[in-house]
Amino acid sequence: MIKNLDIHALERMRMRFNRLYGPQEVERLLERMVQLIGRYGIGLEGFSESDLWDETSSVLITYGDMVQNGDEAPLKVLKRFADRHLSGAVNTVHILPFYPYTSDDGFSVVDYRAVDRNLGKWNDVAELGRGFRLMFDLVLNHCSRSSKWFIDYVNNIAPYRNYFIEEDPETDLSAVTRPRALPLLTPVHTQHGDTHVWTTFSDDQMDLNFSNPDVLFEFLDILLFYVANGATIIRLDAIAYLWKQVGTSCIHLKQTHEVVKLMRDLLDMVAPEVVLLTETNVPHAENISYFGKGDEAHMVYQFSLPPLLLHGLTKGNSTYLTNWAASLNDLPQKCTYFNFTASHDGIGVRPLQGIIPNDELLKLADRVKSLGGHVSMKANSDGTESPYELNITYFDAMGDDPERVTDQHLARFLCSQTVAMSLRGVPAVYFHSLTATRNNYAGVEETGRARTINRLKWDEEELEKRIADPESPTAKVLKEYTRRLNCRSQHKMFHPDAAQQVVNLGPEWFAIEREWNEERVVCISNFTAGYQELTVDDRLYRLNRTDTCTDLLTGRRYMGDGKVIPFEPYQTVWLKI
Amino acid sequence: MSENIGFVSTRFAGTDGVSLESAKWAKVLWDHEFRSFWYAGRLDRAPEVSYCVPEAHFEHPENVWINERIWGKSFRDPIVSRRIRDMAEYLKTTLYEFVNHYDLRILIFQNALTIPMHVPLGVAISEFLAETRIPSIAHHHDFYWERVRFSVNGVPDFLDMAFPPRDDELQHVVINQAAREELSWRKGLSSELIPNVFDFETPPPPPDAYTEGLRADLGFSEDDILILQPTRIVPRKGIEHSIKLLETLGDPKMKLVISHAGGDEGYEYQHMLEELAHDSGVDLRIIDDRVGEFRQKNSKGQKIYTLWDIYPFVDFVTYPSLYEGFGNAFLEAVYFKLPILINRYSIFARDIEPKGFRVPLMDGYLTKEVVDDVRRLLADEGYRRTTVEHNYAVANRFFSYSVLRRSLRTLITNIKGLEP
Repeated sequence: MIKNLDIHALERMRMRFNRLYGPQEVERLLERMVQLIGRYGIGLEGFSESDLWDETSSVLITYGDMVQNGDEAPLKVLKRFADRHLSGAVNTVHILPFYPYTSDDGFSVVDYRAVDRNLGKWNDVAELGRGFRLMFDLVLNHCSRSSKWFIDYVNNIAPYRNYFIEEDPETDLSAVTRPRALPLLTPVHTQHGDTHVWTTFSDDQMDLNFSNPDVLFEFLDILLFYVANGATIIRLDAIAYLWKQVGTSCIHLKQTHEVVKLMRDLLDMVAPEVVLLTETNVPHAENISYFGKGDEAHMVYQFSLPPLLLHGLTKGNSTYLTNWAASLNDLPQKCTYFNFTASHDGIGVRPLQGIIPNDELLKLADRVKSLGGHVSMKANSDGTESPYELNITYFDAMGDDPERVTDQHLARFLCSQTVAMSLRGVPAVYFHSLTATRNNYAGVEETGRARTINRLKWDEEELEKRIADPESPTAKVLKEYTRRLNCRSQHKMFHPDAAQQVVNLGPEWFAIEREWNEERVVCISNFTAGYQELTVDDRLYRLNRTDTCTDLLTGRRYMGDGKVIPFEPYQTVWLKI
Repeated sequence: MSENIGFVSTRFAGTDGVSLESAKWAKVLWDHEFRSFWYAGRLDRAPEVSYCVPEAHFEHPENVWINERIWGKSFRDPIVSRRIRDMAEYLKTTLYEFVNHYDLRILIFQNALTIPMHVPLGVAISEFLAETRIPSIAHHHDFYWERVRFSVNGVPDFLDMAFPPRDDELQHVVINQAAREELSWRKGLSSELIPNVFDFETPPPPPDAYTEGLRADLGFSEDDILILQPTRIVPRKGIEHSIKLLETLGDPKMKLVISHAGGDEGYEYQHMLEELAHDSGVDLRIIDDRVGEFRQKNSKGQKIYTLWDIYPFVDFVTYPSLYEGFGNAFLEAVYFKLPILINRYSIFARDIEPKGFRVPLMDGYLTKEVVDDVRRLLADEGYRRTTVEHNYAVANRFFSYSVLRRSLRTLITNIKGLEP
């Protein structure tokens, strides 16, 4: 048993149990919580004094089998790749769900406590964890139809017979927010009769019933199990849909927030070095509501960033990005953003709602199509359709020609990545952004799913061959990308908590100033395809002095009042004052 | 007078011996107007009489964590002691709630104080008994000293204390004579012997529409002779003897059908059997993917059958086990009036054979006489009928619900005294 049970935290948990399950259950649940705390030996050996993150923090987002080599366990191959190419540049690896699953590329989990034998074993995960911190998914909205839990539900065996949500198909569920166009209820034949169960995402992904405390405790246990297996960031998948209540939208319910807070309380008590990251692909204001008052998620995905960057750089106009970045509020303590440009999913455009006009969005979608990508549409309540996700590799999205890669294409892409790593927060890079991967058309044809376009699995030999060829886009991007990440990690001004000030220099530029103690860096990017010179004026008053400043990326120095800084197309400078 | 009885174990679900026997006890007690309520970590009993405590299941992560640290090791870490006590404390509170919630007057512990699959639960029950003095019965199916895997352990103190506890209000029931003697030697405890039973007063239901075409559905032709091995594929089941039997019988129409899966103790044994069957020219069929606890359909839309669906289509049963705690498969074969081959495992020799059953009986190896007897049971319809009817009658005399009814009445009388 952990010795330092924080009585205040337990009191907070008591209130949360009360709100979630009512006063009758509180004492029992608190006892169960005390039982849970300290399980797996977590919290016994004291806590590290280090911060949750610093300027060296950056995350690689990858599937466990992103690089393959014959019969070798893909997790071993991934470790070899990461050790060889990413040491020093990236400090955390997010292995997308690596548990046995039945569909949705890992997100229909069959067994939460096992490693998919096609990927390797827990030992392989641990090995990867020797060189890098680890980030795991907690897929908690639903589990696979083939999971033991659901099979027991079908066979009417407790506790699992109460793990899922049965609903009368006559019930009015029209208020429920849907991320998919598939039916919300799925008919199931069980030992206790024919039922309909709630399936928000697909008929293979059975929603779990968090109004049953057994389900909550199952996941609290899995959470600690992941921590015991080395996870330092836990990604709460599709968390916004967690709690269901008929008659409501069933998204972002107060109970859902309460569950996240409860998890935070638990981690704060037994594993305060572990970060909770919520995944909510929704408009920005809803997304950041998961920070709570600094008592919920430590990190949230910056979902507006990928489409805004894409829009800005392909239009040569940073206006919307600048306005949005300037509007970002200060964050509560111990909170930051997860700044990514691409992930295993497509580029969600719902987070652009209210940020860019609809016609701009449609133009962006047309451009993605012209570059070989797909646009997934959602049905609106008025019968119309609108784009909700762009399916294309982020590298190809930054090009002009699906057939060839030009220097301009490379520069534009690297600019997008550099802006993301300049912003306040922890930068996260998707594997295919690092390797300048092109659209995977063959994969889409094979699976019939648009998202496969961005889910190529590399053959290790082929990938290494490209990296060894200095003329290949893969080699150029990987080298420059990791160089910039390395550079970033050496300067405190890029600490995720370092203050950020957006400077509006006009639509051709994107500029921010970062500050940590007395040190400052001004990050300026040329958002156009042309050579430009920027004359420093009082908008950048800290730069507009006689003092010398140095571009951390090129080593060039600039001096004097009214400095003139030359910019190649899509160049970014990090001017240290 | 109607009273409420609570059954307690780590699991009451499925077709394991403990779950099945407990259900039989509950049925017989119900006939005596006792209402049964169920406490376990995994439960398939009706929701209104179920009290499910997930932490009480032996597969609960907490218990798995503890088990990994106490078995095969002759010491334990202080944190393990602490975790055992903490979990026991928690489970004890749930026992109090269970008893209060259902107003229980008698508790029956089903193997929870016998095999230490869940040490904290055993400790919790022992303390609970010491604190409440509630009259109770411990039904012991298999003791830890009967299993090699528990012989090296870091919890001898807990085993002494709780598996089973010595408590004046706790009556012990064992399922065979050897267990009775061991319990007496090791713990100084007396016990009742109640064998496993079957409802021989009610013959099995005839096949219904669900099993129509079962043979063809499972890939057998009408003239195939089905020899059923109704067990899991683990080494102590001696399945190599069944293969040898079919090899010696040498009839290509005979198929050796194994109903349950391998893998519980690894797949080496199963692979060895498959190789052996192949080399011996025996047609071995493992049909575990089509056999389940309930009738249902699998993901391919195929019917899943229960073992009881299959028995009526079987011609002969093999049960050459090296060891069994009792041997329910034997009683099941007798219940379905099927001839059965037995390897003389010790409990059979001592507790079952003396009752007068007529079965082909091997003593570690197959003899010509045994094979000839099997051949005759398959070929000679009259001999077969006489044999299975005789066995049914013997079983009805010694292993029926009536036997259980009498024994339970004695136990309950010990608790409540004679009804006025």
